[in-house]
Amino acid sequence: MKICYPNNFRKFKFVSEDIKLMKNNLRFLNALLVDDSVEIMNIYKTCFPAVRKFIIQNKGQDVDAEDIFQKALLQIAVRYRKEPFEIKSTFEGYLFTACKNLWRRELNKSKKRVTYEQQLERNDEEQDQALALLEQKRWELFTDNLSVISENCKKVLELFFAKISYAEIVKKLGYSSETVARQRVFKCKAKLTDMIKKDKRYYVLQQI
Amino acid sequence: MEDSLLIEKFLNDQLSPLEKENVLKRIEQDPSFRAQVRFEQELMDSLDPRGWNFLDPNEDPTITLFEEAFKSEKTQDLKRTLEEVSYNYSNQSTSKRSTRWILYSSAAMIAVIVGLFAWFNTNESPQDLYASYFDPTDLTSVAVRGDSTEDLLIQAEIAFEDKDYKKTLSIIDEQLKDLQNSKSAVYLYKGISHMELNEFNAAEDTFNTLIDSNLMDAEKGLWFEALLFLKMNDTKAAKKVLQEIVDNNYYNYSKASEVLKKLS
Repeated sequence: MKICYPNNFRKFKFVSEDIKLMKNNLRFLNALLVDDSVEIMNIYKTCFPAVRKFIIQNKGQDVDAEDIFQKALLQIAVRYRKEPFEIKSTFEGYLFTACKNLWRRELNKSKKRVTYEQQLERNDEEQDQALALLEQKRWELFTDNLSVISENCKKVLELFFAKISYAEIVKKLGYSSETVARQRVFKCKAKLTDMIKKDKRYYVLQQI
Repeated sequence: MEDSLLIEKFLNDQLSPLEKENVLKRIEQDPSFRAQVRFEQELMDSLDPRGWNFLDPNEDPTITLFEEAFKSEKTQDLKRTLEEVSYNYSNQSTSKRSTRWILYSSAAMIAVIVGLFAWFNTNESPQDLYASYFDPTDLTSVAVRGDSTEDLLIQAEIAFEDKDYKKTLSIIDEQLKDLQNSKSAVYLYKGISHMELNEFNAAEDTFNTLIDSNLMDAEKGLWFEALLFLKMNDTKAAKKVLQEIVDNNYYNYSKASEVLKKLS
């Protein structure tokens, strides 16, 4: 019993913090759903400075930061209204990631401007926002699965996806040869693919 | 070469022209190979920390569902709110930054200025203070892009800027009644118009409604209410409101503290 007590206690504390987190997340989400400008101002005060800093450090300017922040909030609102989803971390953390992704998307968009604009027949803002939302969903499906794969696989795959050469991977992870590194990447990528394809979110994506 | 390695090299552009041609041919002819290449590409683009996986608009039929949601009135309303909040937020943070700069860099000068004010302005009347601090030009513009009532709002705003307060009130009271509940600027235009027409009770009522509302600019109502009391020569009431502004760092709190000093 003595052992049980602190365990239970910790469990209780954990749960109560979870509830607090959930309440906070719902408060901000709700502000977006009901257009509550006072609470939205609080979202700006709490979350915007970090986003602004990130974008300015990554080739952006103030106006970009404002634009991206607005787009991310709209994206969250629209997505939540259409299909309520769970924010596992804090609202702040989720919003920051959404902004980071939108900014990454912008930077890559200008890189492949020509092909991208061919795809996007009309210069349609709402269509582009809808695409960004679907891309974010897909990104979450891939990233979530990468985060739960074994630690060894995660390490080698992260280097591989960051386009680090096999020679470099051998050095960093202490493999005996490039062939071994290739085999590891192959096995881990197959495992990740399998996990993604078994994920119910992937199943939904395939049904459409 | 195994398919997996072949695809990896294809995506990283490491194949010979002949090999590349073969892969392209297979992509065209073999649907399962095509799906495999596409999946690999999505994986590589999504998980590359510098990359991004762009979807083709024709690829996912749910796109129209989300497109419509982005176009919906609800989302467009939220977009306008976000633009308004963003505008107010950046104004607030710049004014805070500049206030801080002034505080840090010229504390001594402020002391001198305050001393001089005390010397020269001991007899400034509340109405004088009202005249020197009344500046409605920094109000947020109410006209927002793409709004159906935009024309009326612009008309009200133009009348207000022309100091035609009767016309401002007639537009707001007759045609923008419903909108008042959602736009703090409309309240401010209305309250200030009444104040300028010396309709003090109506002005006070309007400011109080704004102050008690949940609107973002509710705190601006306090500043204009303080000015109203100065105009009414009610120093005691003005001081109370000004103190509330200073204590809570509300809109124009530094100006409020200046006025308080001059009143004491």
